[in-house]
Amino acid sequence: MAARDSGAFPGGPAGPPATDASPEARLRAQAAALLRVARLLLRDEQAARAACLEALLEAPKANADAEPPEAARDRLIRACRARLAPAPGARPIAALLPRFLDDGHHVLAPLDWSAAAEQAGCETPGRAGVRDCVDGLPPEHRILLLLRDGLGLSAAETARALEIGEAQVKESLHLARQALRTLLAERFHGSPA
Amino acid sequence: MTLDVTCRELVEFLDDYLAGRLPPERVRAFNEHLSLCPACVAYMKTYEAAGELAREALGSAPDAPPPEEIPEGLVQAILAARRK
Repeated sequence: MAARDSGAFPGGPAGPPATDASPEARLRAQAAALLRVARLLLRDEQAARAACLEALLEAPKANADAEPPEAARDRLIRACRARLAPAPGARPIAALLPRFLDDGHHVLAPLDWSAAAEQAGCETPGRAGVRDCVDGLPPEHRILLLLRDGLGLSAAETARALEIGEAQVKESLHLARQALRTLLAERFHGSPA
Repeated sequence: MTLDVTCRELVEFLDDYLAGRLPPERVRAFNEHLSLCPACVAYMKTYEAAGELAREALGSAPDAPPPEEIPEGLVQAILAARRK
């Protein structure tokens, strides 16, 4: 997927703080951008504020204003990852992947619900419902979807922020998308197939 | 179905297939499998749909709050820590 925005604070109007602003003004602008990211990742205001505080307090004291904006964002992402918890009743990733017979064929023939919104009797998954399904993923897979599909980070940016390899980003993201497909099928179409 | 590619293999490399990262001979084998396997076509379509739904749902986060709306306690805690 092409990254929608590879800037330090994707989509945030606050953006990088103006260099001629006061330290407090720059901090407020930086905190605003970070808080938006934290809210997207955590969906919990107190946890989002705590992650912001952690990310900003860990800035090098000598040149906190001079460090690259992505450095604070990467710290924030790691602080958020540490705060992501499994949803109640969440299943491990292996339980959410398609199953195959010994000959390599599907155990359950997948249903094509891609156009289900246009069909009578099928529930349309709204944004909140899809987000609930994303939150049903294990945290280590959920964070990848949030960073790649939510913030629009590139694979390289995601790998750097999470301090893992790009190959692991790619592999785990594929598993996350398969698992999300299963959760969406179960929730909106009544079958994991 | 006697093909070089099984459903398991197609699913395993589906992301690479959709992203155009597979070599041509592998793409031909995947295309052949898909032409004969409605189950894998359905899986591929819904895999792509899941990705689209995720991008729509997650990519619509609200804009960053204006700097003046940042919790004062958060700002003061950071400023105090940086002054130490």
